[in-house]
Formats: sequence, structure tokens, C-alpha cells
Amino acid sequence: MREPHPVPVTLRSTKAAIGPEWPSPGQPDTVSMRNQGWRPTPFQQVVLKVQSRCNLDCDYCYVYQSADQSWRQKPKRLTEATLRQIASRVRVHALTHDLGRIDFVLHGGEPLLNGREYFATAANILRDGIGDVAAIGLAIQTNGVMLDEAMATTLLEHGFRVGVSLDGDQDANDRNRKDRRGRSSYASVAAALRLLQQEKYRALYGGILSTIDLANDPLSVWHELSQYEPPFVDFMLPHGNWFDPPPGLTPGDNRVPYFEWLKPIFDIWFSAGEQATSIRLFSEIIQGLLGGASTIESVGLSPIGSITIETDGTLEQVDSLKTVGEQHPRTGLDVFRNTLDDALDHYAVAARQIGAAGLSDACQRCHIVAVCGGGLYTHRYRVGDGFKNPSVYCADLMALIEHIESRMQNELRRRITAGSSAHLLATTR
Amino acid sequence: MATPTPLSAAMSRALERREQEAQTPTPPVARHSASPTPLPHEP
Repeated sequence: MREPHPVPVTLRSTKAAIGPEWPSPGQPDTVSMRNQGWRPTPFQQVVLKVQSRCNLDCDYCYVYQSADQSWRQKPKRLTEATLRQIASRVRVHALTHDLGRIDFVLHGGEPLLNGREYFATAANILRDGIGDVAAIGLAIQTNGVMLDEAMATTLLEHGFRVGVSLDGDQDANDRNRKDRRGRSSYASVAAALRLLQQEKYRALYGGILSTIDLANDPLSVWHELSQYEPPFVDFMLPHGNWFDPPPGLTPGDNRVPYFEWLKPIFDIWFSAGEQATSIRLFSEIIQGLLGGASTIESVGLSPIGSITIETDGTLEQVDSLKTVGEQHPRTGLDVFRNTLDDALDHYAVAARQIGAAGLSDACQRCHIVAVCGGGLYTHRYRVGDGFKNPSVYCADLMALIEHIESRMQNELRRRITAGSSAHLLATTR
Repeated sequence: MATPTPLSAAMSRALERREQEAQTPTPPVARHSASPTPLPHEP
């Protein structure tokens, strides 16, 4: 395994002594970039925070347990009036950029706290407002506790896809995902997933998001998740950065605990002769190694085409930035005063759309930069210089990508002695 | 000569997707937040 990038060694105490963090107003300079021919990538995914409260109290939640406590001042739910304003803004955005499709993800907090009628109304508002200019995709990310037959029927009728969060079997899930009284959420979430497995609700089934806890056994987690036959699983690295490292990670000691956790799952998944479930992190790394573009924010260099709208109509970059600090997700823009194109010109939005130019020097020189892309933007933060750093997960990502590459090469070597696919793999490096 | 063993499902699917994307002109790929939104290559 090659050496990961050097650890930024200092956590400087005074930002004023070393200038603004990156990005900051004018850095990157979107005006100059536009004059030189750069054009932003329009938003194709809109994450709507429809509910700012939750019925669970997960230990690692980036909304309630992080540095940013702004949820306390937000309206509890996104109102119909704000939703109509959002539809109006998105409609203009779709027309301006000739977008054939816009995907909405209704998110929270816990979105299902809004009740069934809310989703019927929301679907109608968005389709009525935009449907004549672009196809509308509707999805909900839920903890699953309130996903019963009545809710599922309503969501199915209105064309939603549902993603559920689950971290493994009962012991694994209870480690972090309990309610405010410390009660397990496992039984109700498992029941929700069994509901989604039924043929009647299969079209509703999006997939499972699962946050890694190193204390959980990886193969037990994978066995638990795969028994629900999800179309996809996305394993999430717990949020952290150079200043506030993730659990079990000491930046700079070159241990790779998250790679070691993911490796047995990859090996089983990759070797399978039949495969019903995609694991997005692995699939997108494989595409990157084949020379393709990633479509998920956690790896790759393609521009981020997602914007988040809070219950008060404010436009934010991405909610995981709440783990860095209260100011970091903010753009200062909202749907009442601003268009979505205003957000495209925001320096911090642009910083996530300019590929390798938005990465640290070390990342730009790295042999796997096109695949890794510096990892999730949120994980690059360091007090003093901001987001132009390698990921705090650099060593783990490098080990994972190199392991996947090695397995792919062996697989192709085993099967193909000459041909376009082997050539394609060889020429991507 | 021995019959080559088939590729794993993950590798077959990846190569199929890569070849499709390489041959089909598409708009610029944008990355999505983790969500149940189907990715462009997912059904």
C-alpha cells in the first residue's frame, strides 16, 4: 500500500494570522472563472428539509448532535407556501438549464412526522408546479419507525421512493439509533423493511443507508442488511474532520480501521455470482477505476449537483457540513429572495463543482485523485485553512481503492487475456 | 483449454455500465447526496 498524504500537522489557533479559510468570498472566483468559460453545473437534486424535528435521538446525528444547533430556530415543518415558492424557483431553474429531470429528496429531521396527507400535498405541489417542464423524481429518507402500511400506500400512490436508515442487527442498530428515552428503534425499522420487501410495495423501495460503527461486526451488518433485499446499500463513514476526527481514527497514525471494516464486505459482495444489491460506495469506486464518473458525493471528481433547502426556505450547501460548524452549510440565500442560479454562483457551491481544482495540492498530485476525489467534502475540514485538505479518511480511502483495484485486476486477469475491458482498465491509470 | 470462469456479478455489471456510458452521449454527470434518489445508471 502506498503512503497516504501527510497529515496537516498544526491546528492553528488564530484564523486571522493566516487569512481566510478556503473557500471564502472570491475564492474560488466565480466571476473570473465564468469569464474564462467555466459554467456551473445546474442542480439536479434538491434535498428538502420538510421536518426539523425527529422521533429518534441518534448519537451521531449531524442535525442534533453537532456543532450547528440552528435546527432549534427553524420552523418545525416546511409549509405549503414555502413549498410552492420552491416549486416556482425549481421550475425556472429547470427551464433555464433545459433540465429533463429534477429529483427531490424529502428529508429531515424525520420527514414521516409530517403525516400522510403532507406527502400527498407535497407531491401535488411539486408536480403541478414543475411537471410540465421536467420529470419529477420524489424520494424520502426516513428512519423507518413510522413507515406502516397506510403510510406506504400513500407514498406508493404518489410515486415516492423510500430510503431507510439501518446500521445492522438489533445490537448494532441499538448502539446509536435509539429514541430520546433510550428505547430501541430496531423492531419497527425491521418491520418497515419487511413491508418494503413485499411485491406490493417493491416499487417504493429505494435502499438502505447504513452508518459504520467500528464496534459492529461488518459481516453481521452486511448479513442483516442484505436479508431485506434492498436495491442498494450505501455505507456512510461517520462524519469527522482533521479538527474533530471520526470515532476510532487518529489522523496520521496510518492505521486504516474503516478500510479493515469495509474490506470483508467488499470481498464477499465482489465475489458473488449473483447480486441483487448494489453497494454504492464500491460501485462508484469501481466506475472510477474504469475511467467513469462517480454519481455519489463521497467519492469522485464530478461536480456536486445537489442543493439543500431548510424548513425556512434557506438554501444550504449540504447538511453534513453542520458537523463542521454553524456557518459552514450556509449560503446566505433563500428561495424568497434568490434564484437557484444565485446559489450556483456562491463560492462554496462552486468549490464543490470544480473537480481537482478544488482539492489540496497533495490530492492533485495523488495517483488516485480521479477515483477518490478527496473523499467527502465535509471530511476535509481543518481549522485555519478550511477544505483544501485531503480527507481525514485519506489512508482508509487509499487502502480501499487500491484493494478494489487489485481485486478488479485479478478478476479480469482470471477471465480475460486480451480485450477491450482489460485494455480499458490498464489505460485508466 | 479450460473454460474461463465467469466474471463476478459486480464486475460484469460494472463493465456493462462503463461501456454503456462510454458509448452514450450524456449530459455532464453530477454527484448526488446520499439518498434514495435513483442514480442515473440505476433503474
